[in-house]
Amino acid sequence: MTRKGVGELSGELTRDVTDEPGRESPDVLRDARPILAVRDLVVGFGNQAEPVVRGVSFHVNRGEALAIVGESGSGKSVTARSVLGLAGDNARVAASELSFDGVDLRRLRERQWRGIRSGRIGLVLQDALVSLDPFREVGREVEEVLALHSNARGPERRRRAIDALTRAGIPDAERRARQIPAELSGGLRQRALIATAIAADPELIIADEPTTALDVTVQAQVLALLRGLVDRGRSLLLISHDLAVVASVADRVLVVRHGEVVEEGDAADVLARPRHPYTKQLLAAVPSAASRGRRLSGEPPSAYIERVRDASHGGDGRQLAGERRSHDGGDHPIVLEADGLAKSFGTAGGARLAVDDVSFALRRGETLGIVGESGSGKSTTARLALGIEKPDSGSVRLDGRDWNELGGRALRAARLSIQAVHQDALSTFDPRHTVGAILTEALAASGVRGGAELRARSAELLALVGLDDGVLDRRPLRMSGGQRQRVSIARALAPRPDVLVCDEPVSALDVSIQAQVLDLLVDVQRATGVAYLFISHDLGVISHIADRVLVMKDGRVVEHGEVRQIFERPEHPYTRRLLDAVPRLEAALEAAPESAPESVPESASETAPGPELDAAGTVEAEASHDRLDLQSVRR
Amino acid sequence: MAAARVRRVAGAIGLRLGGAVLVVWGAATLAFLAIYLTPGDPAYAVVGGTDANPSPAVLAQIRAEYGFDQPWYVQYGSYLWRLAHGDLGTSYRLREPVATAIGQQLGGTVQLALAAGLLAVVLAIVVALLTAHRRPWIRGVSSSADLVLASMPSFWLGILLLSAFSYGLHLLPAIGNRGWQSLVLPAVTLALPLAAVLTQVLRNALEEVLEEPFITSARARGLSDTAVRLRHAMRHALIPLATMTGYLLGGLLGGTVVTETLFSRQGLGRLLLTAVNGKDLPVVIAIVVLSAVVYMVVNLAIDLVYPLIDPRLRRLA
Repeated sequence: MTRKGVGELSGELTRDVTDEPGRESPDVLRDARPILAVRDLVVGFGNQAEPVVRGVSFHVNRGEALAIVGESGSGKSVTARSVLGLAGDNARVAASELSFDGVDLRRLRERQWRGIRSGRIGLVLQDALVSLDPFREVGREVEEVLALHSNARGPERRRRAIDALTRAGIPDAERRARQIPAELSGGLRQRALIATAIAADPELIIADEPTTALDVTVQAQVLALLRGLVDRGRSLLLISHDLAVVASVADRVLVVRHGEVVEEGDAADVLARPRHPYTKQLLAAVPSAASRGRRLSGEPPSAYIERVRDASHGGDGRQLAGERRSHDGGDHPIVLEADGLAKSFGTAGGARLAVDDVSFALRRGETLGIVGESGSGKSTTARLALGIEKPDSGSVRLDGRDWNELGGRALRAARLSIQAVHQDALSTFDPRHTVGAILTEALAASGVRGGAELRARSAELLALVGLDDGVLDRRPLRMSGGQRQRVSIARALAPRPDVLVCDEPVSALDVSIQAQVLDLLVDVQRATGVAYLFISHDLGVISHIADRVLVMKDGRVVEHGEVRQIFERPEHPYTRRLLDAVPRLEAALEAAPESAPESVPESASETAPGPELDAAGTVEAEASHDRLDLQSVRR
Repeated sequence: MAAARVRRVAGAIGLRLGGAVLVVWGAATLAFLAIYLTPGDPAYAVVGGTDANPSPAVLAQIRAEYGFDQPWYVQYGSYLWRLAHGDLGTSYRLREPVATAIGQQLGGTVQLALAAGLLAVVLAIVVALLTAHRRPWIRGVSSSADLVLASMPSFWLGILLLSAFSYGLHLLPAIGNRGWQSLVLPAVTLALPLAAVLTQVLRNALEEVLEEPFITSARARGLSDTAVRLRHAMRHALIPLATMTGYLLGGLLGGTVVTETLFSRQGLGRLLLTAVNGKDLPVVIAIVVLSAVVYMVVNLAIDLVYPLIDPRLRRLA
């Protein structure tokens, strides 16, 4: 195949197309055939008998965004990579159809693949810090694509690389092109990665979790950028675990589980009126202000939790989550109090204030959320509360005693009454320890040594977090993410602490596992009366679980108060900006009537209204007073 | 900004040089102690070893002249004093300044070490690039070969090469220092075990890098497998390769003892061997100090190479 001059030509075309504002302009839309068609795709690895992808069929129309949604292990990424012939060296890929623009991808030789990759199908992976070569300037990464897929050489190639970076939304691209990924912020980095994917102006972009590592405001910009490509006639295959992200970008949705498609259809329709139980479960699991007081996982609390709660009759713990809004303080003692905390860290460019004048009070049985973007000082605040860092000024009082004034034995005793749960539970365990050893160590620290008491307390902790005794001999490495986090919560509860500092405890988990862990945290709080200092970048999680919230930016608290009040009537512009940037399911529901697809023959038969789920109903009710709509994300 | 960086780099180098002085002092002291504590009278070494039969008067005169009758701390002190002034002393056996003796032998050894080092690095790069992340049997063959070569005693390897290429095929000379042909077998003998270790290190590094997401990105750009390896993966794998190369090259002098003896080559290794046998203290100490200096210099040079490979080290530091 001679691609001589094609690069030049498509470069010209791009600029024409980019200038066009509407969606219906490019002639590619006239072609009714799908640009990508996949039928009965099966992908297996190595000697494993069970394939990872088991007969997946879908198509992407021209000028359309199709999202594949699923949790980890669903085979969604493998599916996407198979389309580029990049499933891996030991992958076995089979399909009855795998065609791109009439080209049978199954018959391609390696050399022909190389013409397709980036030339006609671009790939965007998640987290550009590791998806771009950390040793190379981003401009050179883009140039590499042009060297392969265009005839541009020398200064002309450089100019077009900078042009691609600019099109990807990078300001001052000429300077940025000379920087390496580590010198760029997360958002700029991700855009540079997108620039490599769009540099040769491919017809189809595959984006695999393109916003997973990003802050909400940056995520909104990247999603708008991807949607913009679709609006200019390109096609998009979006892979995501995040239903809200999907809602804001995709025209159609494919829900996959265990390598099989469980539901397919118009995005707004599937999200508003899910028909498959799994889709319903996924939607119900998304935490938001509307889900407060409702169990996200749909599973009842464990028998143990019920027993403890019946025994204490809530007198020791708290009221039901749904009723706790009227919490006005005063009724429970303050267990953790911070006053005027400040902390700075020295860097090459001088000292930087990580935390600046932060104060809060946390009462027994209460949850105080801290939200903010990366670098806002959330985690430093957590470390100050835990007494791991010493504040430059200000004080932290735990049960009335100042961290600064404690030493020796008193300090060690104080440490027991405040415990931490981290995002990555696995890295907090000694890899050689079994769950039994982990709990024994934690209990020994609080004075429980050997014998019947140790066994009884271990069993009690496991029951509290919903694990059975069978896990005592297992090692966390061999456990699922959700089970690990349960073990980590059990360990934190071992010394019967007054406060748990939860630093992004569910951020690494799939939505349905996240739902179970959030439910568990609510149960544990009701049963034990422990207070949570709950740190998260996810406003949905915070509005589900927290009673009160601190909004942090650049080390300062910009706004604080009751969580409903803050999220319904934010006063600070930054809070408003954060809230506006959050992609929401509600947005898709509002857009549902108007965004009917132009030509989606297969999904037409699937738009028949199914039985409605009460969870979706709640979501719908919530949507009525939500100011954010799809347009603000799409811009 | 630039001035601050120059200051920082200069400071780092200064610190390393200070460390180097300490290491050289330590090496010199250990060498002195080792020779001093081994039984035998150094005066005999001066007169020509244990076979000589000098009169007590001659021995006494030698002891007085060389200071052997002084307490050990005086000998040590005057030895360090001379060393600090660059005076390596005079060889007991050769009756010439140690610096001259080393100077005469240095060329052959440097030639051998450089040839072996270069050969080892090139071999390692080629083999690792070809075998990393390939089919299991290719990897298996290569990594078994690495293991055998790395664990084989070098004199045995040398003898095998000699019998094959010199005595068997008559392709290359067995001994001597004449021309490049005589360099081939010693260099290969010295290089193969090094290459084996370097190949292991580099292949592991490459395989780790080839699993990184940015490699998938590069493949998705349409790069060929060879281009992915050469343009992206290799540069990352060079970091552990450089570390290991510095470590091995610094210690190469020890390897030349066996190789030079086996192939009857002139060089520092042979000089060292005869000096140790003859209790020729000044020569032994000088060579030990020299190898410590070489080790330090090579590793300092490697440290300066890292920022050239990894731009984060120079841009973000």
